[in-house]
Amino acid sequence: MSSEEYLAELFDRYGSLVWAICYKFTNDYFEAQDLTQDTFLSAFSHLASFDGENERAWICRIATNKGLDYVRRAQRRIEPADETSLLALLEVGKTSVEDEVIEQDMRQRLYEACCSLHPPYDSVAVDYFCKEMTAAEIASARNKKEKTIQTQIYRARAMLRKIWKGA
Amino acid sequence: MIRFSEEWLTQFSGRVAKEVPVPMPANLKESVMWAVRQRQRVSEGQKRLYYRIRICAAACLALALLMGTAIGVEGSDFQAGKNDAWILEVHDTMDGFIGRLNTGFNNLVSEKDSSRNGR
Repeated sequence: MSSEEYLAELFDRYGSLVWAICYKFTNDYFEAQDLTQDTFLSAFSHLASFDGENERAWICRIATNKGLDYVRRAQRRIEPADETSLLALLEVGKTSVEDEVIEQDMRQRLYEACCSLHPPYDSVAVDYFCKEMTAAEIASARNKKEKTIQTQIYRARAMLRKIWKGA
Repeated sequence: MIRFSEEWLTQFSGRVAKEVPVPMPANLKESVMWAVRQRQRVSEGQKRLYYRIRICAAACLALALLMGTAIGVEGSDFQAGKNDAWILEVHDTMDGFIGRLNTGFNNLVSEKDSSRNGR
């Protein structure tokens, strides 16, 4: 099995877990995506040094460290972060009954942000971020090259991030 | 530096997975795999660049060695030239000596002839 195939398997098993950890730290849809990507990229570059034991703890450690780094960077802009305040972030509260409302609200905001982009980025952003289609699916639906769609997604993401932070 | 034990990480991840309200986007895997492929491509490109740099360095070294050897050969030619000059000088000296010897013999012969004629 190639290292790329192994990483794909790792993502299938722990992708949603890593996403949850990253979202917990960032509380931001786009930042969580970036952090999840960073986590798996880091895992990919350290595959050679991984002993193969307890991969769940290993990938969680990478995600947690990435999350803590993110919080440190974010807090450094405001005030110096101490370890107690960082650990306080890791306190997991009870599952809120408002979770569903939060998700619906987030999805509505995301859709509105996607629609506010200028063409062709608006429709690509809706397909990618709201309908969660893959770049390959969007490319085949529009009869365009996948690379073109990837570039449009990249630009749309940058624009959405600005809108998201401004909101 | 915060260090986490494996047990704590497993418990933490289990709790977090239940808590986060926003589910993972379905296309995130594709996005991650695409980023991985891009990184691989970049690292392969870097490897190729390092290989080219090494080849160029080896070629330059070989060229420098070749030039050095060529200068060495030229140097030995110069030495040979110097030797030739010395040989010429020796030849000149030899010619001069033989010339003087001839002149001496000629004088001797002419003196003998004149004394014979005088008798």
